[in-house]
Amino acid sequence: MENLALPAGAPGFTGEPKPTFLSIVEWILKDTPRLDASLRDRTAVAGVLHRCLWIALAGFTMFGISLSILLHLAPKPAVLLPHTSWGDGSAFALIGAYDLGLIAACGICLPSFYFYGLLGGIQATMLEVAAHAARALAVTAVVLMGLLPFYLGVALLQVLFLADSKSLHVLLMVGAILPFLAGLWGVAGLKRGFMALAKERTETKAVKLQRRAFLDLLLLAWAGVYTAVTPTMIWVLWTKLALCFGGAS
Amino acid sequence: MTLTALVIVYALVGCGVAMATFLGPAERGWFGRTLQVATAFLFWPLELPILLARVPNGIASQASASPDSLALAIDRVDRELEHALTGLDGWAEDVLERERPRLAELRQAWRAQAQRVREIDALLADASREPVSATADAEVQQSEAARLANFERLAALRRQVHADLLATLAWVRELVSMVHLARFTGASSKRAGELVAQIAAAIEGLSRVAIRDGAGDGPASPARRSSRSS
Repeated sequence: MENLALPAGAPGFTGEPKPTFLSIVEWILKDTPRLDASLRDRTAVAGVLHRCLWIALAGFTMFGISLSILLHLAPKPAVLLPHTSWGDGSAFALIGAYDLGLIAACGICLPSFYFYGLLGGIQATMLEVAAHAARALAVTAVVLMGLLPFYLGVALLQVLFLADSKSLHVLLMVGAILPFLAGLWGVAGLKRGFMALAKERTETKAVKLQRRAFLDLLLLAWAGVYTAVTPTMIWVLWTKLALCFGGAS
Repeated sequence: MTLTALVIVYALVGCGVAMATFLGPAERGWFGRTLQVATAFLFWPLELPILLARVPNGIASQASASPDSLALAIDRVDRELEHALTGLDGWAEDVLERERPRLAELRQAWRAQAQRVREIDALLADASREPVSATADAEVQQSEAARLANFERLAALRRQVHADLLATLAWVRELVSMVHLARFTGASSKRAGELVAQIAAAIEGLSRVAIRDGAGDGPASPARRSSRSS
């Protein structure tokens, strides 16, 4: 296609530089339509998926480190949560459990996502579904990084100075579910991306409206499946890995 | 199945996917490559769709000369066209509904022309690999010369079909940009309707190419003409 000049500036078209780790973070924060467009571009989707995955991994690792520091510093062990300490290395169990749990659960749910998409009448490939799922994880990780400083500030104040065991317990439990709260933004992004995909591949206005209603239910089902699988996976991994590192729950 | 057994199975599949990722096209730099392979091992369910969607190296390099890039360009123009038409909802919907069959036909015609280019390319590639005997007698050499001349004409035909297809794609892109312009400058719905009709009329140009190219049974030299619809 050497003779067909494609416009520079539109994602995926000739002349568009390959998106980097930082440029995708920037798109998540400032330019989500561009991120959506890059996910629809078949030539760029694999690279974007990798980078979204790395953003998610980096974000969840940072979160895992922060939460493990809090649990390590807590004067009393948190109720319901496995023992976490940097001394015996069980902190790595927490980091590994959140990293593997949040991302690998998405991989486990992927076939369901794909079939739900087909049921919704969206002719998306498995790669596109994986890319949208990775995008949701990346958005979750970026929002988590935004929430984390506030949470850490409040929690550290409580741990180091106030030390009220009841409120500390509540704060630690909030910390454990913080990725799921941030995940709401990820689901919202996922919905926007899939709506754009549905809009692009829908023939008539009537079908478009019908699909919009169905897609809401579909995304609710997606979020439900993911919310059921992920905490279970994190919990199993955390307890098993904590045992491996020598900590007792 | 115990957790240990599950982890072993997961890790085995992860090893396979990581190996395939390592052998495939890589990220730039050792850090990017290491990260890619490591994430492929740990999160192989997300990496697997990328591997399955990947075009094998040999095919990709063979196609990069033109046919696959042709398909890519058709996809891009198709997307742009779809995007422009989606923006017409509620503005020039009547014309859009009327022209939809012709637009679908146009898209099919693009792909049919691209396939035609690919088939000719395959034929020409096979022909160029056949050895020519230097010791053959005059009659055989004459036949060989005629055969080569026919392939030369086939190559010219291929160039013509390719150029016509590119011209049509460029023409549609131009019209698509005009649709966007008309939409945002508040042009009348009649103007939008005219533009959609012009896009749909591009099919006539491609149909004429198909008829003209298919008409000559013998090794006739194809006549040059513009594919832009009048």
